[in-house]
Amino acid sequence: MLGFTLVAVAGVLLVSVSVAWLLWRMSLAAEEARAGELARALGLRTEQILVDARATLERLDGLTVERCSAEHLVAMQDAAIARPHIRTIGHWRAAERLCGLGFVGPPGLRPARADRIYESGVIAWWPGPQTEVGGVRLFLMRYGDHDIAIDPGMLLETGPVRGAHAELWLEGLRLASTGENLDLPQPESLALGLTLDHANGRIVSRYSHASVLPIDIVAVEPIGRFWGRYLPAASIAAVLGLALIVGWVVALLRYSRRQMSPPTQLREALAANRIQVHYQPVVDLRTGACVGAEALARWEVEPGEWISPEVFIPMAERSGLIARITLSVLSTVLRDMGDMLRDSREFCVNLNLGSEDLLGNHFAQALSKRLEAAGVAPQRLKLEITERVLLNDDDTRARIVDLRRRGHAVIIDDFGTGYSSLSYLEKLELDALKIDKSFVDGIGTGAVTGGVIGHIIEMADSLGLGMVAEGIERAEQVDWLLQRDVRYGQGHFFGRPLSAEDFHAFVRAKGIAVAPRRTSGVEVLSV
Amino acid sequence: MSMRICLGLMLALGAMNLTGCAWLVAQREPPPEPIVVESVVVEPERTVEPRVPIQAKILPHAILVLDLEDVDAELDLYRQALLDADRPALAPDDLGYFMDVLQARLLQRLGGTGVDFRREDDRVWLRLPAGSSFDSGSVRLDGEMRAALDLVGKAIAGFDQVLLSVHGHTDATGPLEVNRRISEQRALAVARYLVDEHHVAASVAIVGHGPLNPVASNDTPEERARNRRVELRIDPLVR
Repeated sequence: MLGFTLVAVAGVLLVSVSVAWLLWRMSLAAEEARAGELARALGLRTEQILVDARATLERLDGLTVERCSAEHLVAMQDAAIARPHIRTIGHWRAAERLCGLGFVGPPGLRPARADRIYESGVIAWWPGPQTEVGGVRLFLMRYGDHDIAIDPGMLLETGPVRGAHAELWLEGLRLASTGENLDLPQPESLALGLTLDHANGRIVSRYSHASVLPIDIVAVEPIGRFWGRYLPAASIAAVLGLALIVGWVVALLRYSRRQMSPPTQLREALAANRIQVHYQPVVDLRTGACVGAEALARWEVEPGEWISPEVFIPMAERSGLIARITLSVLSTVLRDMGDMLRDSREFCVNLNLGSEDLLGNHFAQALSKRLEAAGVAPQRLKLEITERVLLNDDDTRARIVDLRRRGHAVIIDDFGTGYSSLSYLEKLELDALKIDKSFVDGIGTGAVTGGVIGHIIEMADSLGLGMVAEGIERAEQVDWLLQRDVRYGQGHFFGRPLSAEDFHAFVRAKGIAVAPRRTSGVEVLSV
Repeated sequence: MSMRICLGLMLALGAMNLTGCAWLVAQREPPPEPIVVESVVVEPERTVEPRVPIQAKILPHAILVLDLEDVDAELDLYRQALLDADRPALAPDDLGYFMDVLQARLLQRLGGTGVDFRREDDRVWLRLPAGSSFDSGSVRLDGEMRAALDLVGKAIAGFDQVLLSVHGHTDATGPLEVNRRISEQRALAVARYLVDEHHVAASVAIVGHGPLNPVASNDTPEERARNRRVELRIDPLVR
């Protein structure tokens, strides 16, 4: 069971990590898709503006109107007013601006060094100190005798990356930036898509767009903002996912436990201490006082689902688990009943032994050791052995002798139900017989067994064995037994098997006999 | 350094806005009489053969470079003379812009036309297409040559703050002196065409190299034809 649990826990952890990883990747993918879409839109817009500027310049250059005439000025004015990103349009002869309009004064912009001179004759100056007007760095393009100045900041301000720290690069040269000194890495140094910059706690994204002009967009965002965007959805998904996983694993565990072979289940139950002990009171038939209890193993497979000892004890015998069950029951008894066993000189607990317990002296040693550790006298613990066990061999009998020598009373359980030669009754020194319920049931019914029980009682008397009647359910059975000097009994008439807690309550109500056996008077001590 | 430029005359005429100096000096308006100007020996230690004047239409703002020993030095001196005479010139800050724009303009106008040009920092060389050449011994501009010059004239229109030097070349057939004279006349014909047909307002210098700077061997008619050529050089005038 432990191994299985470990595997299950490891599985849950693995799945949780996988879910976390998946959500992280999905968040990144969502961010990539979002930022990629923004970048694509921005790239398209940039490209469109530049292509349009170039077309406008070509159109102006191809005009046949007289230069700097009213008609020419109107043509330039119409081109500029339709394009808010255009800050000026000028008409030039060589390095001399002849006329123009816009926000740049008459001398015009004459940067000392072009950034690009294209084969087509288009010449371009990227934004820089030499194209700065009033603190705004303009992108300048000239073709033939006209030039156009564009404010690239308009791209980022009105564009989809508003609010982010971003830079727009055209042909490997910075075209626009949302601010100065952003300390953004150059596009070439970045992989496409998202890059985690752990050192600076930010996510850096690079997107490229190159249908006509190679455009790169570099943007940074603090990781916190990234999480702010995706954490709520991711958390909900994670919780739901984990709940589903846990539910699934629990269902799987329950199913697999049912599917486990019974011996394996029993082994798991032993390991998990889930074999419980119930106590059926043994009473003095004359007084009704409780003199002891039979400890009965109970196996609760699931809460409320019990497996009968008649089923699992034989199974435990077959699969060699009975010794462990016996020791487990012993430990529980000493824990549950330790105080009563120590305090009372009368109160005894009967422990059922299996054949395996008598194969070596291991059990006897363990028993003595534990009793000693618990401070309980061996006389307080009686051992019940079935007839079938006695059949085995001489070794078994030697163990019984050993156990009696250690101080334990040995009781033959279910006497008369197993095949028995009865010869052992002479060979072995025993302390008591348990009269099986099947014989007690027959009392007062005139059944055939009614005769048998009488013979059993006579035989026990003649052998000097004590007797305990099992399965007493009616008062007339008590009377009948008392008439024949059967002194002890157990059964539903006195009390069903009870949990330790209930048994203590039962004893508090009924009291227990404290007087030594075989004395006439019985004191009743309330505990 | 010897000069055949009559600086004195140039400076004297400068005040009269006849800035061009030279051997062929002039104005467009006066009747086209051939003017013969004596070469002035600037540095007396070098003497030069008197030259036969070219019977030609007068070119404004033009000189003929006669000393082929150090053409660049002579052109530098001429540029300085032009600046001293207040010819249109560029402010130093505008030089980069001017050259970039000139390069872009040449790309726009001459790209794919066969007129070859290359920029060397602040200088541009133009070479007319290989097919446009002079007939042997001829100074006549054929149709192909005129078409190429039309392209050049339009391309450099407006870029007046320069010294346009026109370099004529011949093949190696015939006597050196004759060839030199032919090469001068070829360059002059080109310069005159640009000024007359395209109103190129730049200052002009004519250089006749003769056969001294061939671009091909003179072994085959094709190679000789390639050597019979005119190249143009544009140097900005910076104040």
